[in-house]
Amino acid sequence: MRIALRLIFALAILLLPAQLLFQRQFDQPYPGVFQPSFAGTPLTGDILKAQIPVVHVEFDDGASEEIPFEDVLPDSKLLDKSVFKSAFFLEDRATAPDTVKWLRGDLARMFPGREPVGMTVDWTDRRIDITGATETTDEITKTVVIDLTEGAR
Amino acid sequence: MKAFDRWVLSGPFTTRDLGVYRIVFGIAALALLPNAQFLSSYPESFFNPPPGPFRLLDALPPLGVLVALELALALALALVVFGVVTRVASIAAGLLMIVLFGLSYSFGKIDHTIFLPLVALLVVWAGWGSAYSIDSSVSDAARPPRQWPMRLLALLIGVGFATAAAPKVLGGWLRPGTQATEGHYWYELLIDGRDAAFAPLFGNITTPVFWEPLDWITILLEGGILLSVINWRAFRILISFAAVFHVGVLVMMNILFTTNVVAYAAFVPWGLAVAWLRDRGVRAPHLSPRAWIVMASVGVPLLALCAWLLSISLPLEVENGIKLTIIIVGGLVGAAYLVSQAVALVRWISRTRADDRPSGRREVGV
Repeated sequence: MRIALRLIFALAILLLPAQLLFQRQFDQPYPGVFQPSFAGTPLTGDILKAQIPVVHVEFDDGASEEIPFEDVLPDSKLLDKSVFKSAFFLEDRATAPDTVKWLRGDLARMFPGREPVGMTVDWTDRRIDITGATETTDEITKTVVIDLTEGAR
Repeated sequence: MKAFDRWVLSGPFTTRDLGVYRIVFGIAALALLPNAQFLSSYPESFFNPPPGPFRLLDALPPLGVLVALELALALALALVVFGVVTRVASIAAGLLMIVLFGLSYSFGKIDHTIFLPLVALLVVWAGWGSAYSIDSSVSDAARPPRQWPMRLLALLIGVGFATAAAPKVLGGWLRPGTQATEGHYWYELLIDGRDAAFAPLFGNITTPVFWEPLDWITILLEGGILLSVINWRAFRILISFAAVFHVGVLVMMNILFTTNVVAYAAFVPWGLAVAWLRDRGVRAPHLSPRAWIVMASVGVPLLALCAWLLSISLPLEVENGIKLTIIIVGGLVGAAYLVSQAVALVRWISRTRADDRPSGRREVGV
C-alpha cells in the first residue's frame, strides 16, 4: 500500500512538468489538471490589443451587412468568441460542408426574404486606447470567405 | 521515506467532516449540474475536441445520449447526497462530470472545472460515505478516515494552480513595467463585455501602484498553493486566500470560479459546524435505518429529477446567481478563517513576548 501511495504521489508531482511540456508542444489537453493561465500582457502602455472577428453577410442583390459575430451562433452557455474562433479562423473548418449548410439556414432565419450568398470574417487586430475607450484602430490580419451559394461545397 | 509516508498519511479530517462535506458537495454539484443538450444546436463541423480521449469521437453524441448522460450524473450525485452505494455513485459522478464537461469543451474553449470531478474521484477513498449516509446507517463497520486522498487532492489543486503561475512568470507578469492584471481587466471589460456591477469602477484606477502588486500577489498565490501542501494549516490559509481572491476576480472581472470554491470546501472542518449546531439543540431527526432507506428511495430520484429539470430550464441569470452565491459564501468562510488565524497569531506573539519577559524583573518586583 505504501509503495503504491508513493508511486501515486510521485506521479502527481511529475504531472506538473509533464502537463506544461505537453501544453507547450501541442495544446492544452483535456482532461488535465490545469487552471486558467491568463498568460501574456494584453496592455502595452495605454494601448489594449485584441483580436476580434468582424463579420459581413453578402446578399444576392450585391448588398452587404455587418453583423455581430455572436449573432451567427446559437444561444449557448459557451463563450461565443472561443466557439467562433474555433469554427471560423481556419479556412478549412469555416468552409466545411456542414458549416456552410448550417450557415445557410441560420442566416436565412436571420434575414427572412433575403438571399445570403456569402459570409466574410475579417480577423482584426483592434487597438484601444484605454485612456479614452472610444479611440480604436483596426487592422485586418486575415480574411476568411465562406461561399454560401448552392454550388459551394 | 518514512517522513514522506507520515506526511502522506497525516491529516486532521474526521468521518464527520467528510460526511458533511459529501452532502455539501453533492448539493452544490447538483446546483451546478452541467447541461450538454444545447451543444446539439451547433453543426457537427464545430466539434473540435482538445488533445485527449475526446479526439477518439468523430462527432458529438446524439441528443438522446447527452440527455441520458445528464440524467445519469444527476442520479449519481443524488445518491452521493444521501450516501447510497456511495463509492460507486461517487466514482460514476466523477467520471460523468469529466465526460459532460469534456463534450462542452470540444467547441473551442476549456473551462477549468477539473477540481470538481477530482473531488468526487478522490475524497470517496477518504471515507466520505462513513457518516451521515444510508450506507453507514445499515453498516456496523466503522472505519477511521483515510487522510492520503485529502493530501493528494491538495497536491493536485497545487499542481493545477502552478500550471497557471508558470505561464504568467514566463509571459512577463513580474516585470514592473507590465500591468498584466490591468490588461486582462480591460480585455474582459471592453472585448468580452464583462461590464456588469462594480467592474467599470476599476477603470478609474490608473496607477501601477494598484495594478502591479496584483500581478505579484496572483503569482505568489498560485505558486504558493503548491508549496503550502507541505503543511495543512499553510494549505488552509492559502486556499482561504484563494477563496477571497475569487471574490475579487468576480467583482473586478465578473468571472465565476465556482467549482474551485466547492473543491476548497473539502478542507473545511465541517464536524465543528455540526458540533456547534448540536450544542445549540439543532439535530438531525432520529429515524430508524429502515425509515432512512424509505426516505432515500423517494428522495434520490426526486432530487435527481428536480436538479436536472432546473439545469435545463433555469435562465442563465439565475444560474449565475447560484454561482455568485457560492463564491461569496466561500469568500466569507475564507475571510473568517484568515481572521481566526490572524487572531491566533497575535495571541501567540503576545504569549511568547510575555513568556520572554525577563523573569528577573518579576524577581525584582517580588
